[in-house]
Amino acid sequence: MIIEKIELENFMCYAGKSSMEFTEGINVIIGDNGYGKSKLYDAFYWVMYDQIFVPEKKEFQNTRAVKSKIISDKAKADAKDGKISTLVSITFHNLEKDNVYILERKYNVNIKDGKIVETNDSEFTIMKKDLSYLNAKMVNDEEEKRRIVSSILPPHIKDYLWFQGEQVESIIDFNKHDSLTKAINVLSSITRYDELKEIASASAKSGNNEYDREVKRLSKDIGKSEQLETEKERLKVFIQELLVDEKEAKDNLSRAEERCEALLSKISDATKVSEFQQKKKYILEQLNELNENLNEEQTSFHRKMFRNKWVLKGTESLHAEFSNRYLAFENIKLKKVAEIRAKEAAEDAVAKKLQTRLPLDVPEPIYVQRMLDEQKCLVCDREAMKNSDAWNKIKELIDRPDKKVKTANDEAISKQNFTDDFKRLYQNGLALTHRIEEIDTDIKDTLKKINNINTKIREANNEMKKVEDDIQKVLSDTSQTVESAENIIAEYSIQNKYVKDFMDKLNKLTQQLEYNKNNLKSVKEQLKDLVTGEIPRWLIEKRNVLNDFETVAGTTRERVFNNLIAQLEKETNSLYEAMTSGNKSARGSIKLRRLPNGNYMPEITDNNGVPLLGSNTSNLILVKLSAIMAIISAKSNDGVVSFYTLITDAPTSVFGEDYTIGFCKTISKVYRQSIIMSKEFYKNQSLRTELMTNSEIKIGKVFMITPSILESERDNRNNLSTKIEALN
Amino acid sequence: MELLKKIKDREPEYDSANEELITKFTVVQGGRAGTAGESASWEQGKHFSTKYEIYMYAALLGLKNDYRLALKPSIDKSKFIPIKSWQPSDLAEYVIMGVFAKSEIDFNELENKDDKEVEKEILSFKKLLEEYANGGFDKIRAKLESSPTFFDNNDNCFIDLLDE
Amino acid sequence: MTKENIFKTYLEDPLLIEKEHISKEKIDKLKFIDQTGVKLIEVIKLAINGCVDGESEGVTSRKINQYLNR
Repeated sequence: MIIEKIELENFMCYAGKSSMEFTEGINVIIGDNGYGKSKLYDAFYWVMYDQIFVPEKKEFQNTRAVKSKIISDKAKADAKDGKISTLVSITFHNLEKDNVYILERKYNVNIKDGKIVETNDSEFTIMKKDLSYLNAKMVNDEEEKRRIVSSILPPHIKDYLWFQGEQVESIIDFNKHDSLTKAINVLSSITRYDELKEIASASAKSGNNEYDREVKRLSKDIGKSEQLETEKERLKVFIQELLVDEKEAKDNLSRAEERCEALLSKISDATKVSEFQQKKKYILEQLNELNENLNEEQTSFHRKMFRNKWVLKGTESLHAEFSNRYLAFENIKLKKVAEIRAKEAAEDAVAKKLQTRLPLDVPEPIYVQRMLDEQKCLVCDREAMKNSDAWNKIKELIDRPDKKVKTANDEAISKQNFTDDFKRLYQNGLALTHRIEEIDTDIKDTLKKINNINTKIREANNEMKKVEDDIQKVLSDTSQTVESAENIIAEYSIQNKYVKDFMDKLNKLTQQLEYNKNNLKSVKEQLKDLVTGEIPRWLIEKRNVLNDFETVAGTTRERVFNNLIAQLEKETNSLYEAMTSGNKSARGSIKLRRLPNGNYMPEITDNNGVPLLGSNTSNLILVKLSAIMAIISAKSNDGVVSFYTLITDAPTSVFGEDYTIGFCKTISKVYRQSIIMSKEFYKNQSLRTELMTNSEIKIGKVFMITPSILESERDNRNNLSTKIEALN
Repeated sequence: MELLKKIKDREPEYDSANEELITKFTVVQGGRAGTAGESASWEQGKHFSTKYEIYMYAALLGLKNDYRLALKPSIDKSKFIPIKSWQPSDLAEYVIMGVFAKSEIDFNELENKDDKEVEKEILSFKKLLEEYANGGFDKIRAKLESSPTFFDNNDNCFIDLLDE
Repeated sequence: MTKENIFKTYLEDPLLIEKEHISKEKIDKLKFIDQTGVKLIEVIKLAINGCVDGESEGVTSRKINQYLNR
């Protein structure tokens, strides 16, 4: 669709009838500040959307609000009683199908007794020609009208095609989730993936609920189940709250990071600061690792008191004392046993001896007793006086068995036998005393380790401080005025502190989340443990499938989104490089860096991907402009936007003269038609000449507008009109 | 192993006056899902995970310094779990060994006693253990009184106490 | 994006192979219309169909549930 012409009647500063015709290529409207460029932009906007931009309020307002201010003051002043109106009409031509649409908006008022009587609304009409040479027919159906307006400039991309220079900063905010998603969505429908995520989440939730209900039902202890369920719910709610806090912390962190980098960008001594930044990053990584190590050591330190038996430090004497007593105890026992054994042996010896003389019970005891009583040996019939050797020898025969019985009794030496107990205590102590020897060194080593880590942490912190001081110094050295230097430093410090604070907060939240998630897991396990019987296979499978689905939906969305970001980055880069190619001071390529909250930040980097700080504001605006244009151009296969016209008011004023030609070259290549309002060409004659003669610029029509009264003399606007002069 | 088994079935007591001290340095268990892990103990600034741990420590402190302190004869005493449940068990046995080492019990004589008398000896053994632990607690308390900051921000405080 | 386009992006997810729902060779040849008998993939199809056809979330959810209840 090409815009062939615009016709204005009594619109703002364009008193009377004016018109401009446009062709393919880059059409430029040149005029100084206040000459009417923005009002022309307003004219385009007004026809399509019934709104104009009110600079005092910095916002778009409807005709209803603005009313007769739209009408040229001159026309109002000259008018007699009766009707006056303002009218703007744009002719669109679809070159492929050769059909034409004429969109016209009109606003009427009545003048009665010199006073203006407003109507409320403007009138909007569309005339259509199926072929350009046919007569135009009015489109009456409201639905059809809306469709035509939509197809000329689809709502979801209009912001990226018709915009004012001062809006460039805010059209895409990469660090605002909605703004970023909206832009990405133009490239390809990411919202589909978001919807699928919703479906997956909802399904997973219901699947998990069903599973949990079954677990509860099969529980062998309903009371305990209930308790655990309540705990589970509490944890879930708490985790949700933590997630909300986490998101907020991430957002805050991202914003602070962004701010920091933006501040650093205001410096021209870029490389030095960049180096320091790298160093700082490295130190931070080290610090993190060290802190983790320290934590580990400290937590296990306490356990070592018992696990490594440190509590036994210096208690060897206890074992020594015990050993003595134990050994003494054992000795005594052994002695006793030895005594008994000796006694037994002696008795055995005696018994043996007796055995060689006569077998047991030979002669029988009654006879032996008789011999003793008669004090006479009945065998050899000789005297055996009592207590004589002979008499004693006879007595031995009877004593034999008694002695044996007695020793049997002596065998039960003691009532208890605690040898095993004491032995165990002894051996246990022995094993531990070997460990005791090592304790001192063990403790020393551990303390030394902890000390080392602490020292390293201190050193790293010092280094960090030094680097930050260096950064500050560079900041102050290279700022323009003392004031701005102080401001930058002050704000940088603040933002830097925010970054640290938010990182700490995020850290804490992450830990809390992990702790609570673990608790939740443990509660769920306990619930599961209470289950008797079997949960049906299909239910287990269902739950698993739905959870997998939820995961996949999330990761796929991320993957698709990141691919689109990559696509956008690539296209933005090619536009940026094209626009800056003629400029020696601008170098580098654009990277979209991912922020903690999942949004992105555009950066200009060198060949190694290191951020090029010291890029001045113009460059950054160019980056944003490139991105805005990339969104539309990335969609078309050949990178050329054929169906929509770029209309932008004063884009060049945001990035200055140096880039103007580069900008125009690129625009004319990327857009089949564009309409640019610019002041750069007004003062700078050579620039104007270059614009119109440079072979690389596909130039369309060029107009110069001049007001009848200069702005400085405009107390009375009643004579204000604008002259339009075609320069080619 | 009758003797050890009988000893380990006992639940030693301590003066309730020591309760505050114990709580100060010991993680109090919730008795629910998720017993205090290592990091939780560390973060709470507690040095001991269980009561028996600090009890063993106190007993060893008392034994090492040969410091016995009789428990108050009043009923104001608290118990906790039996020795057989103390972990690690080799440390618990070391403590038992230590008490035997310091005790007046004649090992050999002990073997000559009948079951009832052995029970009596075990009871006095338990009492001995409690007295040494009590001594240990007193040492800790004294240190806390004389240098309150000794235990703050000092990871090795209990190790250092063993050294003194 | 066509339903098949969306489907293909889901098939690229490593989880499908990691959790052995389906093999890589099969994935490469898979078309939206094929019946796989792999529950996760069929669920994805149900969701894509419902979403693109403008079904309400509740209806799609119910269909998924019914499919998995068998």
